[in-house]
Amino acid sequence: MSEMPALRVALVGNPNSGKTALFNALTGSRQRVANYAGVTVERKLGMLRTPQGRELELIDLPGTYSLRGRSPDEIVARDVILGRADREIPPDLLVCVADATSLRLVLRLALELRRTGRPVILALNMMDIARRRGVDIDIEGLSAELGMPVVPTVSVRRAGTRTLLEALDRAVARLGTDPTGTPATWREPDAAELRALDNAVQAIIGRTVRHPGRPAGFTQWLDRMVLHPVLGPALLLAVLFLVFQAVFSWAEVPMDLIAAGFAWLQHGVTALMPAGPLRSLLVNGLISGVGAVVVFLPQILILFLFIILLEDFGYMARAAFLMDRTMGKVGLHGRAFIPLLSSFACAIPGIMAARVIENPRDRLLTTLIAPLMTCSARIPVYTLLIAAFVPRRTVWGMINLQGLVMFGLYVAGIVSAVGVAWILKRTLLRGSLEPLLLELPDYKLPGLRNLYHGLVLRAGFFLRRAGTIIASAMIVLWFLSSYPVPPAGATGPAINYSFAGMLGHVLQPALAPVGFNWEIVVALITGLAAREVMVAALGTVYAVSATTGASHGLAATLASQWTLPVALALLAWYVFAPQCMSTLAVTQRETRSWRWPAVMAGYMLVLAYVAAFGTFHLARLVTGV
Amino acid sequence: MDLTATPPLPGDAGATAPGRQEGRTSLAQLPRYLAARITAIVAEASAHESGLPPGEVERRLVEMGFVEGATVRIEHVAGLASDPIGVRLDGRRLVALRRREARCILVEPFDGPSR
Repeated sequence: MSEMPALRVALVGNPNSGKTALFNALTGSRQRVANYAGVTVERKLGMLRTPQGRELELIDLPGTYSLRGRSPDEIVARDVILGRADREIPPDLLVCVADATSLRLVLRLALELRRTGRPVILALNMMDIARRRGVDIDIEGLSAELGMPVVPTVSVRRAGTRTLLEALDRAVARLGTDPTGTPATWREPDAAELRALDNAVQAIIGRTVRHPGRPAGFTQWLDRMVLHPVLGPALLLAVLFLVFQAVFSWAEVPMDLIAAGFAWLQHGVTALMPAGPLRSLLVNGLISGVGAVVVFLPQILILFLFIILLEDFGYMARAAFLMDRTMGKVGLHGRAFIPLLSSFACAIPGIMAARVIENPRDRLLTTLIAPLMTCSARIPVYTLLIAAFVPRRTVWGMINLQGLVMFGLYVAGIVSAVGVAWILKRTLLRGSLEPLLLELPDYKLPGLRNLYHGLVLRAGFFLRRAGTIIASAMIVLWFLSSYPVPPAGATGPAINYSFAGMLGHVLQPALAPVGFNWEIVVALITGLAAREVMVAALGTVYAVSATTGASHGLAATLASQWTLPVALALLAWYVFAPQCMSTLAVTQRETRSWRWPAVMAGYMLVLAYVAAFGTFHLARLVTGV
Repeated sequence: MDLTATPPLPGDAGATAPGRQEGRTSLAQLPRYLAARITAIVAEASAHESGLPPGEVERRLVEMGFVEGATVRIEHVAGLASDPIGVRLDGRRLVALRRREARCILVEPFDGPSR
């Protein structure tokens, strides 16, 4: 055999089986992530080297309970295994990853996999935990019963994958000598066949596995509190509070550093390059635009740090259990809780996280309301307007009025999300009520390596997006707000004479009923790129430096230029802030349609307009301005 | 359409014959902490509401390990409505499901309080 493309090995297994941890242990940093053709399911590939020096390509398939394929994730897993996937080379070998403490479901999957005609190795993962808990598995017996090699693995330890690597060597050697293989006989089982499979599995387990007969004591002890009808939700609230505190307070220093870094870059480029369109494009378009988005990287990383930790620990499934009823009242699935929570940092990771919801309608509903969660990009705008227009005063003895307004804006977002979900569930997304069937796994300590790989992955995904979609949007916006250049002898800021300025003047009559002047409209247009860019844009329009240090100057300018009803109307508008293009772009990618981003933009625009209109006129009535 | 009766499932030989009236306690009605054995998984009466293809809930329940003969015990209930429930399956795995789906799982409580 001469040079051939590396053989492909696919990792298959139930959710929570430690499959991804095993993938990380086997491939280390030699991995890459992309999407499968036509769907937005993550496709993770890595390279590994066996003890005999073979280079194998390892593919980490999404977690699945069977080959039936119900969610996009499960369909991908099935199609890759069966060799039906588009533009995907079928794997030569399957490694079925089992949680050794809970074999029943995965053994049924293993029996299904055997019918695909591809060689299967069963990896008994988390073998250390199983042994500690007194689970006694007759590995040779199990191997004989299943008709496939069975090896114990411990993915959290480096030496724990040795046996699997050796088994891969043996299996690959056999591939060469046994070209016939077994024919593929898999077809979708009905309920009776599933029962028959399950019976077979139970018989095998009865002969080869001895269980201590008790679940993990620590898990049971903790669950008495975590899942308690009263204590459980209280604890959940405390966890959420901690996460939010961390997202907003820990991220401050790194965000300032990133902002300073981009400012330094702007200064550097300004100093090095001669003035001209290219410098303007680099400094005002690309660097400031990409910087405005990259500045959110710390918040996204901290949020995902917690999400990965809570997920690996086993808490996320429990949060879904606790929240299911509440979420169900407005037609949301319990699993929607995690994506919506993520959306408080940024709707982009939130919408990406909605993939965990199996039912397409439920997933769509979650995606559509995700941007109503107050994302961190709105905070600079809220902060600016509140500082300018809400007096720093204490009400009801102890409550800071500015903080109260901020809180009210968050609540307004959540309440409108509930309302929109309620309406969508009765109109566009009528029908289906997805069952909740969720395994609450035993608690376990999150692995550091897994955490690290997860974070690197997220950061890469986010930065790539910032570097492509957002950067190109920034260039377009820079062009719109820089050209045509102001005529000689012009007095106002340059943006007044640009296309964006013209557009602002053209659109202003449409927004006059909600009290917006053309300056606000121009700032809203630039806010298309990212919501918080509006702060910088207002600075440009009012010819005030809007760098973080001088934002008090901008606040003072606004306070003298706008009336209170105008400011309140703008705050109401920003609860919906329909103009975030990145959110619409990611919705387009995730739904693979133009219809849903259009629906999203449409309903948010209507709500923003109605809310701003109502607020403006109500405030005028009350204040008499 | 076929809401009036739950037809027996094809090839459902292992299951208790539907139509047997005694022992028709469903998991949804099982008191907390009382252990029971599953006697049958019946086709969901609420299939028309869920918008899922017929038999789908049953298949998912079976896939999750809710099969005839398995023991179940409700250990956790969520919130004031006590829904969804956390069910200990075969004394080991903990699975969350809503009472709506639990109605499809018929059980026979063990005599006396469970150990």
